[in-house]
Amino acid sequence: MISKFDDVFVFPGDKLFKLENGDNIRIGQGILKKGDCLVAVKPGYLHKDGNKVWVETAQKRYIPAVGDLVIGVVVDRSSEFYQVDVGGFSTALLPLLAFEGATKRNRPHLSVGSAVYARVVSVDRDSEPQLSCLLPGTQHSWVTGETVFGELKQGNLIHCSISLCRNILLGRNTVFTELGKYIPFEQATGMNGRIWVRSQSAGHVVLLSNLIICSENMTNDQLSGMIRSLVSKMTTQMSPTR
Amino acid sequence: MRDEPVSLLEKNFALEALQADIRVDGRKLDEARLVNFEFGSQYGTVTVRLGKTKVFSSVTVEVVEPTTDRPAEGFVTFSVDLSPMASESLMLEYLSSGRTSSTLEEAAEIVRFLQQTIRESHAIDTETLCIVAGVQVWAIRVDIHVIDHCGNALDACCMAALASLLHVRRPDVTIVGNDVFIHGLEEREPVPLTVHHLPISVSFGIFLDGDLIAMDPNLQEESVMEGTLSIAVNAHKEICAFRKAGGAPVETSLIFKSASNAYLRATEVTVQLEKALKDTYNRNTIASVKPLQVETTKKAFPLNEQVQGVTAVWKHVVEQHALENEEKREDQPNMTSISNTEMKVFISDSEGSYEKVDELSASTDSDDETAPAVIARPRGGKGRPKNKK
Amino acid sequence: MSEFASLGRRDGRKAYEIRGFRCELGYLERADGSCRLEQGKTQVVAGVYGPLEARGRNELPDKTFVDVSIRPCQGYAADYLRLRERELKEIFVATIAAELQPRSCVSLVIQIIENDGSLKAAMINACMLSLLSAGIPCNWIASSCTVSYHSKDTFLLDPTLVEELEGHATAVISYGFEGPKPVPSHNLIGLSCSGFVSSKDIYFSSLSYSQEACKKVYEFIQLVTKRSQTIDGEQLSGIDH
Repeated sequence: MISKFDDVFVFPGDKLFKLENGDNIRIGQGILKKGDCLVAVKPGYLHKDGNKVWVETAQKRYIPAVGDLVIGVVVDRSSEFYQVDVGGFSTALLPLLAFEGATKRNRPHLSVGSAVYARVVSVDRDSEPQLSCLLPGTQHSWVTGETVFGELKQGNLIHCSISLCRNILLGRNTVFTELGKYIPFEQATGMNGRIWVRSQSAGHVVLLSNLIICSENMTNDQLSGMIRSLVSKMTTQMSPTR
Repeated sequence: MRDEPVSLLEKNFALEALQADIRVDGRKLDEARLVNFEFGSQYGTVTVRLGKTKVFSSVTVEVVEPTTDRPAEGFVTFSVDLSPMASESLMLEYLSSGRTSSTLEEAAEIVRFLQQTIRESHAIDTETLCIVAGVQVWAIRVDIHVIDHCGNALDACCMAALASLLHVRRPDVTIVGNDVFIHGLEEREPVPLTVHHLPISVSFGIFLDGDLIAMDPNLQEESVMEGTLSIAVNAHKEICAFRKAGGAPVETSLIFKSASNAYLRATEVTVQLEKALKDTYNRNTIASVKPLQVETTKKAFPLNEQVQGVTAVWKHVVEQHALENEEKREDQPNMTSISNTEMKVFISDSEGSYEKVDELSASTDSDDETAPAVIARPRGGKGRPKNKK
Repeated sequence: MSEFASLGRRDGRKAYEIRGFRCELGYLERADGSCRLEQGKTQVVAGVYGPLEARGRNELPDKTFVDVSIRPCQGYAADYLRLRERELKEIFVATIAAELQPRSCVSLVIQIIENDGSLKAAMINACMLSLLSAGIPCNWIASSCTVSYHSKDTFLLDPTLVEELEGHATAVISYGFEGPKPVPSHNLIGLSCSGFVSSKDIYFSSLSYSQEACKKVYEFIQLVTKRSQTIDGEQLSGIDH
C-alpha cells in the first residue's frame, strides 16, 4: 500500500490504498476500484489534489475529460452538430450554436477540415463527448473574432504528445515564455496533443514548430540555452532572406 | 477510413511554406530527409529509416527449378507488406477486411516500381542466378515490410530492397559432373550476389498545379501533393526507372532539374550505403572469425533445402564451437547470476544504444540552418530511453 | 541438479541465466505505443493502436476487443503463427482492463525482425512494453520467459534457437505482476508447453526458476517505462504546488 503521494511512480497492478468506510475520493484517469482497493491501471506519476487521485501518463492518444481545452478538426456536419475529431477514441460533437453570440441565422460556418479550439463540456462512457466554444462571462461575440474559442485560421498545427501539452498548459514547460522573448507569435494549446501556432512568416512558424517538438525531452534550463543560441544564429541568417 | 484527419490549416500551411521556399520540417526544397541503414546479424536483413519512415527488409535465397521457357534464368521477386502497424488507416483497413494489406494498391505500385528499378534495369542479372541450366537456379525473394509510414514509403522500400540484396550471401556451389554441391556456410565463405549498379529511387512531390516540385515529401506534404515523380538513378548518372503516374502536369524543364537533383541525392545515398555495408562487414568478420575456423567435413546438402541466412547451417558451426568451449568452463550452480550480472549487463548495454538512437533521431528530425534545433538537443546525459512523442 | 546445469552454455551463460535485454520505447512514430525489443539476438518490433472505435464483428457491447497480428520476417503469415496470435491474444485479453472502454478495440501488431529462440516470450514482453507506452489500462504487468527442457533432467532458461531445437520440450511461461515494489505478487497467466518433459519434479522446479526470470523481466519493463517518462532523471510530469 502506498501512503506517500509525491513522486511515486506507479505501474499497472499496483495497489494504491484501501478504501475505508466514509472515504470520499474521486478517482481520475489510470485508477480503478477493485473490491475495497484502489489499483493503478496505467504507468505514471501518482497525483493527489484534495480528494482527487489520478495517474499522469505519457501517452499519445487523448482521453477526453470535462474541462479540457482541445483543438479538434471538423470531419463531418449534421443538422445540429459538427463532428469533430479530437484524436480520441470516438469523434466529439460540437453543437452548431455553441459559439458565443451565435443565433440560428447568424452563426459561424465551419467546413470539413477546419480546426476549432473548444472546451470539453461532457464526457460519458456510452456516448460521444460534447464540445463547446462558449465561455461564460465573455462579452465578445464570435463575429468580432476576439473570442478565446472558435475556429483557428492560418498558422500551423503541431502534433505532439499529451504530456508535452499538459506540461505546457500547467506551466511546467516554459517553451512559450522563452520563445516569446525573441519571436512574436500566437499559440493555442489543446490537451489532446495538438498545438496551434501562428507567426509573421512561414519560416517563423516552421522554426517554432520544430522547437516546440524538441522541447519535449528537455529540461527548462537546456531549453532556454538552446533558444538563446538559436536566436543569435537566426537573426544573422533569417533577416537577409526577408 | 478514419485516420487522424489532416486539417485545412496544415494543408494550407504546407503550401504556404513551400511557396516561401521552406518545408514544414525545415528542409530546403531539394533536400531529402536523412537516411540510415541498420543491418541485422542475419544475412540479408536490413532496417532502413528515411526520416521517420521505417522499412524492414529481408531476403530469402532458395534453389528452385527454372521455368521451361527461360531455363537459364533465376528469379528475383519482391513482396511489399504495408504492415497494419504503419499507420492508423492501414490498421483500420486490416481490422475491417482481415488479411489483405499486402494486396493494397499502394503496395502493388511499389512492387511494380521495384521490379522496374532492380530487375528490369539489370541491377541484378537473372542470368547470373543460374546453377545448372534447365535444372536448378537461384530464386531470390525480397520481403519488404513498411513498419512506420511517415511519407515517401516508395524510396525507403527501394533502398531497403537494394541494401538487403547487397547484404545477402548465397552458399557457394561447385559442380562436379552431374552433381551439384551446395556448400555450407562453415565450409566455404558464402558468396554475395552480383549487383551491377545501384539504382537509388528519389521521389518528388508535385505541388501547386505542377509549378513546384519538392524532394522526398513527408506526411503533411503528401496530404496536399498533386502527384509524385519518382526517378531511380545510379551513380553513373543513368536513369534506371522513371515513374509519374498521372497527377498534375509538370513542365519538362522542371523534370530535367529534378533529375539532376535526383542524381546528387543518389550519389549521396550510394556513398552512405556502401559505408554502412563496410561497417557491418568489419563488425561481422570480427564476430565470426572464430566459428568459421572450426574445421568441418565436406558434405553435400540436399538441393532443395532452403539455405537461408544463417539459421540451418550455422547450427553445425555453433555446435562444434560450443563443444570446445564447454570443457573449459568451470561449474558454479547458482541462479543469482540472472539477477546481478545480467541486470548490470543490460543496463549498460542499453545506455550505449540509447545514446546512439538519440543521436540518430535528433539528426533526422530537422536539420538545416532554418531550424538548427538539433544542435542544442540534449545528448541524453544519462542514457535515457528515447520517448519520441 | 545434474552436472549439466552447472556447465556453461555456448554463449557463455549459465543454465538459469537470461540474455541481455535492449529496448527502444516509442520506436514507431505513428503507432500509439510501440517498442523494439532485443532479447539476445532475437529482435521484434511491436506496435499498439488503441483504443480505436470497434466496428462490425469486432464490436463487443461490454468490453474492449483485442486483436493480435504477427508478421513474419519472411513470407506470409503461416498457420503456426495463427496459433501464436491466438495464444498471445488470450494473454492480453486477460491483461488489458477490458471493461473500462466498451465497444473499443485495441490492436497489437508484432513484426519479427530476427528469431534466435524464445521468440514468443520476446513477443509477449514487447507487447507489454508497447501497451504501457500507449497508456492502455492493464490489470497487471505481464512478463514472460521460455524454458527449454533437455535430457538428463535439465532445463535452460531463455534458450537460443539452437538450444530450442536440441531440447525435447519448450515451455513459455508468463506471469502477471501486481503490487507496489517491496513484494510484488505474481500470478501465472499463461503457460504453453510443447513436447515431452521427463518428470513432474523437473517441471515444477522449472516453474519456480522461470518465475524468478520473469521477475527480472518485470523489473526491466518497469525501468524502461519509468525512464521514458523522465527527462534526465528529472521528473517529466513534475508535481506543482
